[in-house]
Amino acid sequence: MRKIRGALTIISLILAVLTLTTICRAETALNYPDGKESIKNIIFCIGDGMGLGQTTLARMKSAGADGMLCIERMPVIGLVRTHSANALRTDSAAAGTALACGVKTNNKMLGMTADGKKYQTILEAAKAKGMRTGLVATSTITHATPASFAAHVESRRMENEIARQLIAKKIHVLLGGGRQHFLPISDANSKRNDNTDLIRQAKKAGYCYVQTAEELKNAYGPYLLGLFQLGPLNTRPPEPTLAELTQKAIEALNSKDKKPLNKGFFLMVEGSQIDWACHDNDVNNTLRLVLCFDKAVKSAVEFALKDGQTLVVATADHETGGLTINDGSLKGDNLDVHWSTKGHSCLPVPLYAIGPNADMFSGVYDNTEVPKKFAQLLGIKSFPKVMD
Amino acid sequence: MSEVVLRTDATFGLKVKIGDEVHRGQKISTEPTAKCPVASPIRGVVKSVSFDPESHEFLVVVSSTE
Repeated sequence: MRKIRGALTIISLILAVLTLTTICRAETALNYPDGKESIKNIIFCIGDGMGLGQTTLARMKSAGADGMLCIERMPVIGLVRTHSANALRTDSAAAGTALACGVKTNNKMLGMTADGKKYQTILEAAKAKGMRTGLVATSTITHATPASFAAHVESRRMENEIARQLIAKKIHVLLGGGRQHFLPISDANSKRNDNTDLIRQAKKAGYCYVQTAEELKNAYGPYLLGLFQLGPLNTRPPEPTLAELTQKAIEALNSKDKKPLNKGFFLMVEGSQIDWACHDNDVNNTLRLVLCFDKAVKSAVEFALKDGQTLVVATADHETGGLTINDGSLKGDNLDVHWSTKGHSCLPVPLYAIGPNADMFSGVYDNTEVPKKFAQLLGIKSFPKVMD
Repeated sequence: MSEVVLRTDATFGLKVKIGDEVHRGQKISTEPTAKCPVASPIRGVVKSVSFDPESHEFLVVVSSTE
């Protein structure tokens, strides 16, 4: 009898261990699925310089202590480390490269490691897979963050060369500022040092080109170039808002045209000027620009909820200003706001995700992990990848 | 009175603010990676500090007191 009881106990223990193993495997499978069939589109929103202080400020001022921004309603939260290869304080070029290529580089460098090796970006990898691609920003479209997804240069200041690379790469949708880098030197408004007319080249290549909000309304995809200012956007009427630009980009990328066939899209949207307001330690402008970015994220989330096959991830490249709120009323009045620097800080940044497999983005991890997760979900095997 | 405009990468913080007195050779930025840290070439007072988004730099204007 004792032998039988002993045998039963051992069998029970084995069964328990097997059951636990199965549960753990099931959880692993839930957290890290193949992803090939469930995700069609990725919308990656980046609030430049937007840390927890900035989102808290915007929430407190717009909705009070118990309110929530759209970005805060996204169900999965992660924390992302931001240091670059040569500094604890990253800049947007190195952080953008990490978020786009999955590798660390020195501050100011774009799309390559510190030793000069060029790496494919997640946008380029998606395009190589037959997906449509887009970049939207309120800065010049050649500024560090959008450039990090499609250009490979030693310095973020090479905006003329970046413009050339953006058009040569035939990214489907490019919406932002920076017309001065696309005009030939013969044009009085040009900042180029050659006679290359990139707008003319783009039109010849099949792009629909627009300069105003009115023109944007009637614009069509899948190839769409919108340059609304010579320099960065004003982010004020009559310009299209970041939310409107995001909606139009989604519409163009998701259109049913046969050439190229719609195999899903990868879109990066940047709220570029949050960083600039924080460099100025300007509370009111920071608030305004975070709310503009939040509305753009809302547009992306609304599309994702209807579509069901779209992952939306929103994060920052770094925090700017070391913004903290020490006191204030629950309604958001009389906030005691402090800035610890006029530069960037070294704090990790929050990441928010919603959509299929969004749970892959929970936890604390390095910024280089973000595009690796995208690649895994899109079934891109070799990533990060040195370019030929 | 002469003035100089100093430009420094805005990624890093500034060691000076408006109204500060600076001496010749004084570093104005906390940038640790700069090959040549930006320093004031004159003795003077910081007249203004502004951010240039295009270059992502601070422009620090120093008025000479020499």
